[in-house]
Amino acid sequence: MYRYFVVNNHKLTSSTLLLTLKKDVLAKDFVFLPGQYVTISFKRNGRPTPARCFSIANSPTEKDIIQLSIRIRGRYTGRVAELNIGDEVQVRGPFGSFVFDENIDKDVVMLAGGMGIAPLISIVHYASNINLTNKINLLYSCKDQDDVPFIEQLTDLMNSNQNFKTTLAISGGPVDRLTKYNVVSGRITPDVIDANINGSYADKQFFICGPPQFMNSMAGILRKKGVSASNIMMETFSQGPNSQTGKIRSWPMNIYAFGAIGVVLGGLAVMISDILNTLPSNSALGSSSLVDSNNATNSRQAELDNLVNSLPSVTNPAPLSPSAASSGAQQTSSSSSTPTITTSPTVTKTTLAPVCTTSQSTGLTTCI
Amino acid sequence: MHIRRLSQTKLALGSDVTLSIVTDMSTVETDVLFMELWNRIFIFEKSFSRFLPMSELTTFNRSSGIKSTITPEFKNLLLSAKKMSIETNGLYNPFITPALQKAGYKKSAVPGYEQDAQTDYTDRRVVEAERLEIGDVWAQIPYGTALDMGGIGKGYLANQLGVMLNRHNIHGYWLSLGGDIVTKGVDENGNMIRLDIQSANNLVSTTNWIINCPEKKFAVATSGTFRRKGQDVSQKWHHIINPETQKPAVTDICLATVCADTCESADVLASCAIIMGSDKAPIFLKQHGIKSVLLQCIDEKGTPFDIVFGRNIKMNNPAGVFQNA
Repeated sequence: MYRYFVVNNHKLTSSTLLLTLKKDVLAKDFVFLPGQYVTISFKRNGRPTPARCFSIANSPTEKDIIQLSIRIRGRYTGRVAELNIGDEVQVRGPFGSFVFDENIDKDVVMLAGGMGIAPLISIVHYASNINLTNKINLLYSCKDQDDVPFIEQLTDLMNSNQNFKTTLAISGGPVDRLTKYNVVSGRITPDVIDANINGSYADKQFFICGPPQFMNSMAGILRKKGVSASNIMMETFSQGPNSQTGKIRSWPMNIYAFGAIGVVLGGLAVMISDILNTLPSNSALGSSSLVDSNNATNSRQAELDNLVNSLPSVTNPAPLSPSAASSGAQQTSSSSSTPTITTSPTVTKTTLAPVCTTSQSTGLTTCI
Repeated sequence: MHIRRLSQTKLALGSDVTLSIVTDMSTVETDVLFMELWNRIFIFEKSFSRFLPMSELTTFNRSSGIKSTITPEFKNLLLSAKKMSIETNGLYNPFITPALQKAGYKKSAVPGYEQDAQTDYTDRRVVEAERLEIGDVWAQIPYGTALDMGGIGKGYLANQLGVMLNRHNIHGYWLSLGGDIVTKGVDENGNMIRLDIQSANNLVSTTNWIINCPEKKFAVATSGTFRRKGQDVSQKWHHIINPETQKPAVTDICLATVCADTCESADVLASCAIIMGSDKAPIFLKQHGIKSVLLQCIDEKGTPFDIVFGRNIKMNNPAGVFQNA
């Protein structure tokens, strides 16, 4: 959060104002890109107001100030209009991916509706201030000739930047006081756009900002003209979550996108690894498949088949002596049964008996 | 017809199996009885040996991860295995096969059958016995696991053979299935059946201890680190695997002889005793209601010592010397 102070607060038109804020000298630098927005809140009767989003209207090259153009419409903006010079304003941001990239956006067409001019004029200011050669063609729709915010600044910008031109579309009333501008009566229509760009929609980047209906209308026109969605940028912060229909361009969005892709790929890797660990390996499956009922190489299996099918009668008429049972077992297998059977001791050798002690508590006898 | 003792020994279940009965039945009758007993044993081995490629156990393992229809006998065996695993808190684990094979027990221990084809489970994993699912007519093990019914299978079969013999006019019997013994009744002289216990130090000799078997059904099992063992390229191994380490148990018990009511319990608890070692095994076995135990141990200096408790195991000739009877 940044501490800013009001240095200017004046009306651009009867219903719009330009709020100029200057950063606290001790605060860290506030760096933003042309087209981004901030949230502001301030104290009213000692209590902080909710935060609201507003586009930055000045150029990022103006280091210490930010300018916000605001249409006075409700209670909140009414209170903004009442801010006095020196009042403190808390600023958060910058936010938004509706940004101008001078390296990509070489030929820009801006479609602004009303106060949608704010982020676009920031871009124009920026391009003019650093003498960019990017072509910028602004089509600016306003209700009437008395409500055209930034009209003077646009004039200055056109004079200073040969690559920037403006067409005003005044949807209602006369346009007699705008004769020095390229102006059309009515809304921005496909024909107006066609005329301004000579029907060439290719290789152009379109920036649209304004009321939702305006943006949807403009985007529809462009789509019908075959403009790719990746070449249309729309600022929609006022409608909820930030979104843009164009390609992902800003570095934060790229980071988010790559991060998300990374998480997905990581998850897949873990999942596949887990599945592979769960599966028996080829050798296990292979060895299992070695067991073929048609090719059983197990001699014990064959022997058992014979034994079960025709059990030979092998009876010892004489009882086996314990030693015979034991020794017989040893001859055939190293794993003879351990206890052998006896009816009486048959061992003739003399052996010392083990020395045993019995624990009174546990009842265990230990012999050595 | 006078009472006499008849014994037969055959190779089955991966070791020597000796069946001894004390009876006054005719020779024809005893021949038929032995034939029934052997048939039962061979069919059991054919069904539940993991060394046989077409046994029910092998095909079941091959279908790991899939619900497989099982025979009632296999179901009983699985239930018994799961029960014993729960009772021993996982010290006995029927899923231990992969670890057993990794430790070196890859071939049949029976001479002449070492090269028999068998399934290699070394790439499979060991899971807890709770993962064994048993339904009415089906069972399922997790994918990539394998069961082995080795020890508990012998104990189960020994009990089943005892049940078969109970239907005949038998005065006594003792059935030895590769370390698992079940006895009942008396010998041909009407005396208590006595079992010598093989010495862990010298396999061809017996210890000074004997087991006096009561007339009612009685089960004895031995488990040791000296029988199923070998020398791999890198390490020595034996077949008692510690489920925690999944490696051959490091233990000071060479041979555990456990007397119990059922052969399954005796077999499983004998193996558990070896895993636990001489310090903990006696208490563990007492807690599980074992009647008598002989643990043949060896200390760090190589000195052998025995731990014994229970009234069925007695010292043979306490006077100190064996004399020819």
